[in-house]
Amino acid sequence: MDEVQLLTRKINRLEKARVKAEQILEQKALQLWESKQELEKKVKERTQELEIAKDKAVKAQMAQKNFLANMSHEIRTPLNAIIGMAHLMSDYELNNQQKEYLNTLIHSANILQDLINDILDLSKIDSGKISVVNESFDLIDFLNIIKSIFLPQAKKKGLDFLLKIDSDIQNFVLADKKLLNHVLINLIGNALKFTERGSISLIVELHNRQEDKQYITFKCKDSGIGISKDQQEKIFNKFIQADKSTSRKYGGTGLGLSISKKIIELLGGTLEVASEISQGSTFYFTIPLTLSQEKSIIKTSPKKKKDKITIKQILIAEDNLLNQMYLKNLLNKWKIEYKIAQNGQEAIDLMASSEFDLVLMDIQMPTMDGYQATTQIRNTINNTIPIIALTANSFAEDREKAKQVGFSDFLSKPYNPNQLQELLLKYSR
Amino acid sequence: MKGVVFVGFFELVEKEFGYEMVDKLIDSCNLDSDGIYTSVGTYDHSEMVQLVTKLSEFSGIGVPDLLNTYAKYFGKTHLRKYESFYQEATDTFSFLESIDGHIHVEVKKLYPEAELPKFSTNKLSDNKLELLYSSKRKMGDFAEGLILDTADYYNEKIEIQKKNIEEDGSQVLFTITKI
Repeated sequence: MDEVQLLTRKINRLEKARVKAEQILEQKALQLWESKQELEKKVKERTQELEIAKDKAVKAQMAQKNFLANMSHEIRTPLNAIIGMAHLMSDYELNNQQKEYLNTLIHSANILQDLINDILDLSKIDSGKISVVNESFDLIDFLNIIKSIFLPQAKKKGLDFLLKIDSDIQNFVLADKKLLNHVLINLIGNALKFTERGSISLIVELHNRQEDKQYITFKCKDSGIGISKDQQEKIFNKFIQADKSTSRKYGGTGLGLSISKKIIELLGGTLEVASEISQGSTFYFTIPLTLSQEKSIIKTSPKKKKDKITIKQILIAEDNLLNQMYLKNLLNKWKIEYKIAQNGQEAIDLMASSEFDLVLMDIQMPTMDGYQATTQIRNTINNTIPIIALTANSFAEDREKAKQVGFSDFLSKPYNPNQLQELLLKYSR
Repeated sequence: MKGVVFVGFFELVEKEFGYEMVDKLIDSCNLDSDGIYTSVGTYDHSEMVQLVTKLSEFSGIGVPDLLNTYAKYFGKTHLRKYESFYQEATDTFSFLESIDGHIHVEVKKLYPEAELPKFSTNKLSDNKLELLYSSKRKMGDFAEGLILDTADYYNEKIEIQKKNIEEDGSQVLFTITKI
């Protein structure tokens, strides 16, 4: 066979192989295209499924939030009546047995109120609704105010209350005063509760300074019953107290420390405990506080409070008969005249025909609610009269909305007589 | 058997013996494919057996030697195209250990119809690895060549002891020692 023939055979074979390869490749390409189509379809289906699942989750979250708001409202309304009636009843001549029953009633209602507030706080923290709002303030002043709140209570139990502040700490800081306050009040409140003799100390030390921040350690130390090592690991969990007898003997919801721990985490620290049985406990945390300039602080020197209510005529807009009764009794006791509107529309009508010094306005009412009524009063009738929202809606959004439509103040139900009295004093001229 | 094995085989035969030998092999064997192979196709394994046997006959070189030599050529010219598999492993042993669990899994994705040999490994020590080759193709000699080529890639020197577990060569145990 000569070379030309051999070459021809080779070329022939190569040509055939090429054609074959092209066929195979085209088939492969088709298969690839088909599986790509299939994949695209699957991705589309999965995406749709995910969107539906996401939608469901969002709706479930909304439902939960609404449920919480509604429950909060539904529980607060009757609780307001219970607390109110109990306070009114304490004004009567009662025998010792009756007084004891009444005290138990008020005590239990207060516990219930604390529990509702704690649950709401916790759910707000859990859903990330609490954010850190920094303001400038004088830390030393702030700590002294806390001392002045607890000193009388400590003395009443025969305990010392000591406040020790590191002299290296700079007074003026930028921090979330409300959250810090919440935690310190919780910790000192616990210390008071669980200490029968000895002292409670709030020790505030400078941990270190870094650029414009001072890291400050807060220690709340007591000489109380102490917490065993086992229990120390559990007490920061929700609804857990050191042991079952604790809740029977000392009361409380077991949510306070869980809330405080989460707040301290928000503030950039960790809440920890050191304790020995019958030696006392120390709760402590270190958080960064940004240094602030003294002059940027708006000194809110409290206005001289009036010692007498000068308000003479009040308009009450409230549809709940029990809450009406509570208010009527209080105002009668304080010798303040009032008119009652059953809803927002009636309130507006009354405003047009009579003179009032102040309005107490419920939010949820039939016919016309408190938001609409207040908007209308502000727009057309009276732009300056103090209008106070009395409501069982206590979410921050509710307060914000109340402020926007023109309410002057906000009193959340249940409230006790003192709280209302304070507000009336505030708006007395 | 994947077409690339046939294509590579003819390449080497042509290089070593000229196209005349390729032509002679095709003519003297009874091939369903008529000796027309493409690397993207799949062909009956018996065609390779016929071709190698005939080549041994024409050249006077034993079948095991032919397969061994071809395997080294095949590794260097065709397997090296899949560089990433080599790079994922760090040495001969880790490469051999990754064949069943990784490389052949990927091959199956591209060629679902491929029938692949099994390579079970058992590491005896840092320097010693047992590798059990199982395939009804009985190409243990080809596998041995590929193992040697792998060691070449990682610049390692190895020694291979070979033992037929099945007499027909469908299961071969390689004991590989790094030296």
